[in-house]
Amino acid sequence: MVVLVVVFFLLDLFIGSYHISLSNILKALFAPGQVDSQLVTIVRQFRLPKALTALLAGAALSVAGLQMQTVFRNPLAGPYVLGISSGASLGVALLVLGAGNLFAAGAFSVLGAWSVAGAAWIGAAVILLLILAVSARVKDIMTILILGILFSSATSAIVNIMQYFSNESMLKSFVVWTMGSLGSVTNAQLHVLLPGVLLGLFLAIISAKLLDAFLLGEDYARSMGMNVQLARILIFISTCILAGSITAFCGPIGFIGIAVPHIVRMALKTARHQRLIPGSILLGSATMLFSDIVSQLPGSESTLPINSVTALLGIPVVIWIILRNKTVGALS
Amino acid sequence: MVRKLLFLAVSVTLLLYGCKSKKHRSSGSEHPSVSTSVKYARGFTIDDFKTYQKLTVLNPWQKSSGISYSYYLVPRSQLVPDSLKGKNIIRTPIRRVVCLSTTQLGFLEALNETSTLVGIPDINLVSDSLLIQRYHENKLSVVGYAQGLNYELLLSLKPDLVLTYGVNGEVSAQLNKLHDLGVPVMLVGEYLESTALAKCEWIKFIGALYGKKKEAKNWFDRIDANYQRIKDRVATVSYRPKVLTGLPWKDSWWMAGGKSNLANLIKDAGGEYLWHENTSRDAFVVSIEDVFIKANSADFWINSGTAGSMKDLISVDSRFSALPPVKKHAVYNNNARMSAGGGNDYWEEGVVRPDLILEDLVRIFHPDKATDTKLYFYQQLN
Amino acid sequence: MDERMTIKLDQVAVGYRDSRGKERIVKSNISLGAEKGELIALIGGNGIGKSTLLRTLAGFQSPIEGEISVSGKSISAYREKELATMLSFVSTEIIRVANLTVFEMVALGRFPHTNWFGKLTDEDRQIVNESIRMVGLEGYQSRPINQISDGERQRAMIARTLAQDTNIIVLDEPTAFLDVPNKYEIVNILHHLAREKSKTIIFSTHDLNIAVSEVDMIWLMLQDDVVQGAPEDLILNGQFPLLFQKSDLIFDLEKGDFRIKRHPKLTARLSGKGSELLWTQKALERNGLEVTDGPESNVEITVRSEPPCWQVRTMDGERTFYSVYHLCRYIREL
Repeated sequence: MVVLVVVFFLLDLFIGSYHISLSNILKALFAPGQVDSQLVTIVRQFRLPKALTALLAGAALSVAGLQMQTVFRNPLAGPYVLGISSGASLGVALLVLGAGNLFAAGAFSVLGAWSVAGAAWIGAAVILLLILAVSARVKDIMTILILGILFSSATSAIVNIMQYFSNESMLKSFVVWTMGSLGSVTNAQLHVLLPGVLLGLFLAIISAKLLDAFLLGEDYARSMGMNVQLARILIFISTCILAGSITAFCGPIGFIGIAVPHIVRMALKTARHQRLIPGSILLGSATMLFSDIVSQLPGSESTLPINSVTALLGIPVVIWIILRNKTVGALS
Repeated sequence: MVRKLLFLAVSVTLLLYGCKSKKHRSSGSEHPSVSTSVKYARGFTIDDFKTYQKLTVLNPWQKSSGISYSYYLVPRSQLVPDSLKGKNIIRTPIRRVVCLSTTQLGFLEALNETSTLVGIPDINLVSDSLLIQRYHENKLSVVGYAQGLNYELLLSLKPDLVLTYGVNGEVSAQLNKLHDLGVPVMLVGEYLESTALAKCEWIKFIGALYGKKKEAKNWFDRIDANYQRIKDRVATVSYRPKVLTGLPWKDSWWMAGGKSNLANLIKDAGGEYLWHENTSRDAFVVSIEDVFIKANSADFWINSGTAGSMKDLISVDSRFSALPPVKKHAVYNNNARMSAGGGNDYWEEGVVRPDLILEDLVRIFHPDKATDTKLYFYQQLN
Repeated sequence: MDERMTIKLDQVAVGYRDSRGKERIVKSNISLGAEKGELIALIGGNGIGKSTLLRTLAGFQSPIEGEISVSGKSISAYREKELATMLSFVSTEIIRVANLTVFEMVALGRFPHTNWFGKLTDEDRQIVNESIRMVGLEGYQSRPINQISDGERQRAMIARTLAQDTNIIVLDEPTAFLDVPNKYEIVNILHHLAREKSKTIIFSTHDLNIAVSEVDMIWLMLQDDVVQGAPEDLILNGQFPLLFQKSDLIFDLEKGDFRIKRHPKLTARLSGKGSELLWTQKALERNGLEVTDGPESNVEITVRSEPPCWQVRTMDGERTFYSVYHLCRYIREL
């Protein structure tokens, strides 16, 4: 599995619109003096951050999805089930579609990468706070799931209204954001993304025991001595950091978070999170790298948006999961 | 006897002549006495008949072919000929107009007919101060964009004409609805022209609506002559600087087509558009990597989205700082004349003054061939 | 107050919060107690509050009034983890998790005993295996829980509580979805645990027959009162039959079972012997006939053994039937 990740990582570095040989890539990474500076720029400023972003995004979304599927005991749950990507969308929409009008002449930074990321993060954080507030007062976890879905719908509705009243260029900006992209993350942004994802993953790993207890449902978990409220908070925060960070910098990327945990469960044949979490990290990274490679459409000049590729890969898996399940509610 | 014959002959002749004229009047299948000459524009034709003009719009949306819409302009002082019953008739000069695209405003300003404007989609995009004044005096209303069009408000404005534009077939639904409501609508396709002069030439089209054929022609001829003069100045330059345009959306860069308006302007201004070999009129996607590789040889970067300063530009993607035009401070954007609400005059006045745009570009690419160094629509990014 | 009392409920009222946040009491004035090593069945009609009581006992919700104490200390004074080492719970929910083996599921019971990462020590493993053995699932360790029968799964859930190693085990209708042999099997295991391991086990059930014969004490929830006692005590002092006050069931003190109240339309004299007589009588009573000795009856039924047949003599004549079924059909038409 680790080998697979490394292979895909290198392949992702290798494949791009401009042909660079593998040896040149390695030189550009480790011995920049020996290669044309333009190649170095391409490899270090474009390919490397993109591959790293794919690695992180795949891992983060898969682990977030795994946690959500366990906590909600729902095989179709994903990293966005709490409404995180909708919150981020709303944040970005307010910035691009709403504030765009107000600040058009002056603050161009409306479209600046950090502003968009910041807006997305704030949106996601607001949703997280809402969810935590609700979670403290609501006992039934299913209610939280439904509320998360309703928050999503509500924010989507607001975003739709804003889109309705926008002109073409703002709309396009926003729509392109929703298509997700791995390649626009610069090394500077990685300095923020990497620690964020690592933190989220760390929180998930220390929650492994709590997640196992969640498998039997919250009642049993409580009867075995788990502080359900605290556990929920910890897991929700971890999910929000993971999904929120990725969405902030790359836009919403779907299906990876739902499909990968299922494949990991099948492959490792276990329900224990001690093994599922690392498995999800590795398979998630590999899958995202693979998706990115596919989206480069090697051999052709165009590229596909990353969301299309993850959808094309992920949807058959999700359909297969649904067909395999005799009872919805079983994690299989 | 002879007198009788003469009388018969004369009366028969008169009769026949009279009949013929009558026939002429009722047949309506006249040939136009004169066709207004259209030099560059390919999106419209104007045919002049004795008592009316026929305006035809051709292929008014992207990727359309074989489509045409005809409109018949009948001056208010004339009766509508029977032959035109059932056709799209517009009484000229029009007194109340709604423009659903701000790019149409430039024509009104050039023809001095801004007082006829009663409706626009969004006040924020308007640059002309007179129009903004009209808005504040409640003489000009905001009717919303394509999907969000406020039909009720539109109707209440009682426009003589609504000017709209096409984007694929979607606007047909809007057109049909307006038709049903009895509002006279006209599709205007000036933005589809591939050269700036062709775009400007639409002033003849708009001029016909106001019965200002002569003024329109004069304006156009003047601008055309200016443009050619400027173009001639740089026609023989030895070095054509390489030019990068646009701004990416995340990691895909939509590049103007090699045969687009912008590409042609660059060529006329003595520059070489980096993608000049592309044969399309429409924009196409280039990966950000490819752009960086090609832009390594760029001398200038123009039309960089909505960036107002270097800081803005870099904030979109910090990797831009490695591009030569950025390092040389040779980035120029066409947003020097912006209104408080965010309207860019480049898209308003610029439509009817392509000569000013060209002069700006010459000032950028070949300052030694320019008349002065003060930019009009463009500004250098710092 | 006897400190040996493992569990004590003192004037407890249990209930829930309704949709408007108002407290609704389901049952109040509950005063019960249980000792170490006792097997207790909680019995009551539908909707009387058995589940609510058990859940309150298990600490899922606080009692609205009164106090519940375990080993002399109020349960609200215990921290979650501490309580989890004293009391474990099995609910009615059917757990379905794929790829979870019996071992792994039972091992979850070690939750309150393992470190923050959940690592199982050798001792933990030993306890888990022992728990599995105690419920008779030896060898099932690597079987996924989705692939074993309901009875086996229920036993695995109990094994989990054993692994949790608590003195008190509370089960909500553990025999509910099982077939009769399995029902007895489970209660048998619970009985064994109470005796051999000195665990206090409280479970709710509707299987009155099993409860009455197998448990040490019954907590009986009636309409107006909650009482406790050995099954025989409750039967003999007439409290047990109160359970059936409002229903068509009557408790037969002599026979020791419950039957539906009969409203006979007819009387008959019955003669015969042995088990044939006994079962014929039951069948006749089911069909609206009351057996008497008195002469006022017009119907006489004789049960013969070789060959088994039934002769019915009425005013209209005599008929013979060769199965109880046909006999009953005839009786119904009388």
